[in-house]
Amino acid sequence: MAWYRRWRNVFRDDALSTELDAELAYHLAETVDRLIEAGMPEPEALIAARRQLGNYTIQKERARDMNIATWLDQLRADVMYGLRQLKQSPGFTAVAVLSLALGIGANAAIFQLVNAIRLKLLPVKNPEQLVVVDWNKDSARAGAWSTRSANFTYTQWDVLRAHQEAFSDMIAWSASHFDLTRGGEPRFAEGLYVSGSFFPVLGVSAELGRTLSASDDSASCNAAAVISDAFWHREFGGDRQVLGRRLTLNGYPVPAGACCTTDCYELAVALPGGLGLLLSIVQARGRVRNRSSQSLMMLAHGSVRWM
Amino acid sequence: MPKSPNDKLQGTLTLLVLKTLNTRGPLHGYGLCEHIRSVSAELLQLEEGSLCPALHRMEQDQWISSKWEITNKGRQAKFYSITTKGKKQLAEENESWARLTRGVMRVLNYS
Repeated sequence: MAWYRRWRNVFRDDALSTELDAELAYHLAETVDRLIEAGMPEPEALIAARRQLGNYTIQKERARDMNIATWLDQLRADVMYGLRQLKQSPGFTAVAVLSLALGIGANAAIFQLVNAIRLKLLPVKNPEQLVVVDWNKDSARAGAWSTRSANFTYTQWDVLRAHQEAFSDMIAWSASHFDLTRGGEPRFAEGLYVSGSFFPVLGVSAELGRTLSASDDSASCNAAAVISDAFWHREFGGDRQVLGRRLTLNGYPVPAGACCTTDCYELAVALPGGLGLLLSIVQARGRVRNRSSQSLMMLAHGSVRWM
Repeated sequence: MPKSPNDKLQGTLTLLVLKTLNTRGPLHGYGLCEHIRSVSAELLQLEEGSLCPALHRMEQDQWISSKWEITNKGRQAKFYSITTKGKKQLAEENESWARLTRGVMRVLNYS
C-alpha cells in the first residue's frame, strides 16, 4: 500500500523528517569514522563528511518527495499558507467570510423558492396531466381584469365546466386573504376559494375530517374551511380536536372542516397566493364575501394533447 | 555547479543497489556505498546524497523493504533488503543493461 503510506506521510511530516535526519546522520557518522580511521583529525573529518554528502537539505527534500504524495502535500501547504494569511488580517477575513456566508445563504434561499415554484412538479396526483386554462393571447374578451391579463369570472367558470368535453375535470380557485379577528385590529391569513373538484382532482387528502368535494358546490351546504397543515399548527397548535372549532373569517363564523396533510404546504408555495385556508367558492358566495372571489384561475385535468 | 563525475551512474543506480542487496543481504545506505566502491576497485563512487532519495523511491516502488536495526557499532541504522518484486526488477534491469552494453560495444567495434 505504497500510496497509503505516501498519503499518511503528508500528515506526519515531523515523523518523516526525523526519520530522514536519522538516516542521513547515520551516514555522516559512518563517513566521519572512516575518515578518522584514515588519520584525519575529527573537526576536519566532520566537515569533509558533510562535503562528501553534498547538499544536505536538497538530499533530504528529495528523499522526502519520494515518500510523500506531492500534490497532496502541496495542497496542504497551500491551505496552511492561506489560513496564516487570513489570521494576519482578521478584519478582511471577517468581511470575506460574512459576505460569502450571506451570498451562499441568499442563493440557497432563492434556489429553494425557484425549485418549489418552477422546477419541482406540483406535489399532486398526476401533475403532468394538469394544464392551465387561460384566454387566448390578444383575444378580445370579457373577464375579471384585476391584473394585466384577465382572469375568469364565476359565470364563465360555470359555463366552461358544464359544457367542456376535452378534460376529465376542471378546478378553479381564487386567492384571497381573510381577516381572522372579531373586530379590532385585523389579522389576515392567506387562503383560496376553491371549486369542489379541487381536492379530488389534485389528489390532496385530509389528515383529519374530510376535504371539500363536488357535492359541497351547493349554496345550501353549510360553509366549512379546510385548513393547511401549517395553519393548523400555527393557529390551533396541531390540536386533533380541531374539527368544528370556529374560525372567524372576515367576521363570519366558519367551522374548520378538515386539516390537509402536509402536502398542502408545498401546494401553498406552488400555487399563487399562499395557502392557509380553503373554502368552497359556491358556499363563500354571499357568505364570506370578498370581491376577489369573483376572479378565478383555472386548471384542467386531462390529456395533454389539447395543448 | 560542476558536473558530478558519477553522472554516468544515474541510470544504473537501481541496478547496482538491487544487485548488491541481492548478493549481500540486508545493508544500510553507507554499507551499500562502501560495498560498491570496494567491489568496483574504487572505479565507481556513488554520490552519497543521491543514494538516499533513490533508496526511498525504490522502497515506495516496493522493490526493497527497510527496517531500523542496531549496527555492531551500536548505532541506529536503516537496513534495506530486496523483495520478490525487487528481484524481478533486478532481472529486467540486468537484461536491459546487458543489451545496452552489447549494443554500445558493437558500435564501438565497428570499423
